[in-house]
Amino acid sequence: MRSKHLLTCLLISSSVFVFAQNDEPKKEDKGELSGNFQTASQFYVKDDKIGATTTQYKSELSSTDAWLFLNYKYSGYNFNVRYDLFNNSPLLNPQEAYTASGLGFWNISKNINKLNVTIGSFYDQFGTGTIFRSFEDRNLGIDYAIQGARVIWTPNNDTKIMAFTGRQKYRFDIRPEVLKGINAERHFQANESLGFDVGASAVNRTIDQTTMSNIAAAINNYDLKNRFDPTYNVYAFNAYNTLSYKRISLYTEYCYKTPEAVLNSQLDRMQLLSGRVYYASLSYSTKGIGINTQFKKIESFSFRTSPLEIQNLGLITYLPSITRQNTYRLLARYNAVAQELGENAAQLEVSYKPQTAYFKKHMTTVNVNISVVTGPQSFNFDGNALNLADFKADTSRYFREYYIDVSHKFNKKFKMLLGYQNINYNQRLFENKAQGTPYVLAQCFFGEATYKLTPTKSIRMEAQYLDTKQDFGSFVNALIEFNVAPHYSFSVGDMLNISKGYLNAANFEQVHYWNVFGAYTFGPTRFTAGYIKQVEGVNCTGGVCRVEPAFSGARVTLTTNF
Amino acid sequence: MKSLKIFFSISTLLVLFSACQETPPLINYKPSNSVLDTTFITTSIPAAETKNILIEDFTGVGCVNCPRAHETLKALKSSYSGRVFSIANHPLNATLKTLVEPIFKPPFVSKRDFRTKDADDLLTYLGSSNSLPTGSINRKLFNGETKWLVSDLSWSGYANTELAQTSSAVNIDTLSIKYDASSNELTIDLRLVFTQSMPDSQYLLTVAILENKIIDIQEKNENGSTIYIEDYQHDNVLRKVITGVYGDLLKAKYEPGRVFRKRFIYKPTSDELKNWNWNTDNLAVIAFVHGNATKKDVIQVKATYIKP
Repeated sequence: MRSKHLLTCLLISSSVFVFAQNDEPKKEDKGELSGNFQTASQFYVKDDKIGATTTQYKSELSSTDAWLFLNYKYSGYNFNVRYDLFNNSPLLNPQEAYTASGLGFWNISKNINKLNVTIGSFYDQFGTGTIFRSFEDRNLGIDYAIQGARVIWTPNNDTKIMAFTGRQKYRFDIRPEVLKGINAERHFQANESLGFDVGASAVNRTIDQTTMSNIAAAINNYDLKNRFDPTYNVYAFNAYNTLSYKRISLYTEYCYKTPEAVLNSQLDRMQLLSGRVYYASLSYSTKGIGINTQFKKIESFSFRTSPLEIQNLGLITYLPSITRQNTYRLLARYNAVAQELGENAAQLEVSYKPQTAYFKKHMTTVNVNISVVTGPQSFNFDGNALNLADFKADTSRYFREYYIDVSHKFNKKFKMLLGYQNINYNQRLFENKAQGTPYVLAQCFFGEATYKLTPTKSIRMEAQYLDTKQDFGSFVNALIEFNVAPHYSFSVGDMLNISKGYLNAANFEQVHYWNVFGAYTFGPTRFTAGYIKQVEGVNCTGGVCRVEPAFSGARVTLTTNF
Repeated sequence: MKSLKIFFSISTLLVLFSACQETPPLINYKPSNSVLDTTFITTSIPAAETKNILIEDFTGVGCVNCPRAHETLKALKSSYSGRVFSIANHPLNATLKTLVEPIFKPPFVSKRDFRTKDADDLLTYLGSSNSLPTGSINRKLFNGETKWLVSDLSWSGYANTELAQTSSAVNIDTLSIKYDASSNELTIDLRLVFTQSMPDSQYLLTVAILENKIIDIQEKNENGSTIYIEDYQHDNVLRKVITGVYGDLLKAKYEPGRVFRKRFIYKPTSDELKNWNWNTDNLAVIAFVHGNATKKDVIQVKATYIKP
């Protein structure tokens, strides 16, 4: 609270100073104020058919979220402040109507020669974020800001050393566990074509007495043979390097975490486990072709503010899925959430643009993606141990995707994309479904076409057909969008459950998930309004996913920058 | 200059990440003292008992304001006869040393040491405190409070709130304690019956041995100055938690008619017998059913004395 007052005073005093200078004839540095504003309101219309029945449909009937971010730079100082508002919001917890507002983020930073000092909230990460990532993702209602102090020392252009201490933000509160960390990065250039970016970090988290009492209380309830001494402190370390050689780039990272209590949701109890993550990414690009392969092995790397936190609460680690992030609605239906208790994952991405005159003229592109995720115990691509053709035979196989799309610009007015996706998805694992829930074997055919009517008017159509006998069965989704540049965009779409699956075999009913949408853009401001029926599913952004209930109702949004 | 930078970097790392080996929290690795542990459903569901409350008083013989808290307890017990139970926890705690250690200010010298590790573990479990007296009312986290321990000045208000609830979700319909002088063994029998369904919760049972009517010295604040009361009567002094300090989990579905039968046999070690120097006639057993972790609320409590 005191810190909030301090910031308010600083902002006010800065403003007073700025206004006080107005009468001066000289051109003074008045600083620079910028910011952005975002708001979304939802109006709920209960729909039992699609399961849109959370508390907002019964009681509150509407909700609003809003964020106002302000940045003021003056004389080497940087002031940031963000006001967050949640009124009856399901954003932070889809089952809750959360109402609160106040300062959600604030900091003051100053550059002093080669040193940058920040006090207040900040976002940052070490390496790929496996041992520490502090970030915000509004779509998922996530704000892992750290509130504390951070120092960044840049002795030269090739070296950066950062250290911080603080606590993770939780809603408008701060979690009691203390975090501290240090990271050093350095660039070495061996010769014109060979370079290295080397880094290493260490992070420490200390659990408070009250949380530890709760952990100890839980452990004391276990059978005698399962009890263990939990640790207040856990230390995580990583070392990473990017090797760049001509057109090849190889990134490698190794992370280790000392033993601590880790919640094993499958056993429904905590265990004392150390953790490791191995990650490598190799990319190559040349004219017309780009190849990227990634590999990640996770061994019980659950790293949170406390082992009592579950789902996406209190995450310190950032473990994104090594699978394709799809954007089309039905292609994004099945997501391989990274398994912090253990998994092996690999992905190959190839983007190919044929270099013959015909294909260059028509900007033809082929994208191929293959990804596989298996359990931690067995990982074998040779096909001897695993039967790639019969995914169901192997229970350690978590996820597999084959994806291809081809885009072609037929002429100045018309371009088209066609593609195919084949997915094997361990629904029981990823969605915590009941024993006996079968693997989802799904394939999806999709396409998109854009036709320019005039230089400012265009029509875009997209369609997907998802075929599966599991989950909720097969769906089709189609959308048509009319754009009038630079101001207007309208769309209408429908998603239809066309055949039953394993989960709705007993009570299958054809349901339309239709939507109408309009957007108006004027300068940096965008206003949208839509009426939406959205199916229940797992929503993922990067490495964080959550199960979101179905939505039925109107949604209005406004975003602007200044 | 370069070596100075390396030295600085290594020193920073060492300062940030080195420390003594930490002491873990209390994990109970001892097998249970329970010799009988059974659960079943009875068809004759009894009427709900009157709900009692538990006040866990964290106190010390060198704490001048602690007698004030004892007076509050006496007043509450007098107002709500038979519904208020208490435990006097003397924590074996380094921070509170001056308040809890036996008095040695000749001619004022304590005869006994009431401090126990169990009491200190409970103090930590309920939120820790740097001062006494403090206490927990029914292990409830009251609105506006940040921990389960509250000042003795708030006890009456919170106790009245808790006593407004009159019907208990679980009956403690048998609670007995016997002492066998020949073997030095205490035998405790207990029977619980749930009268309501309590879904989505986890309940534990804590059983502890208390001693009453111990006459020993106590510091007291009287009109701003410290006095030593040599014949102070210490009641409900915690001697030993027979179950796990944080309780033993009641493993079954909590539904009307759910019965838990337990028998504990406890034989104090020779060191305990020597330190406690107890008068077995004044021993009591207290049993309470409570939640866990963040919702620790006590839902019923009872105590029985060898000689009431």
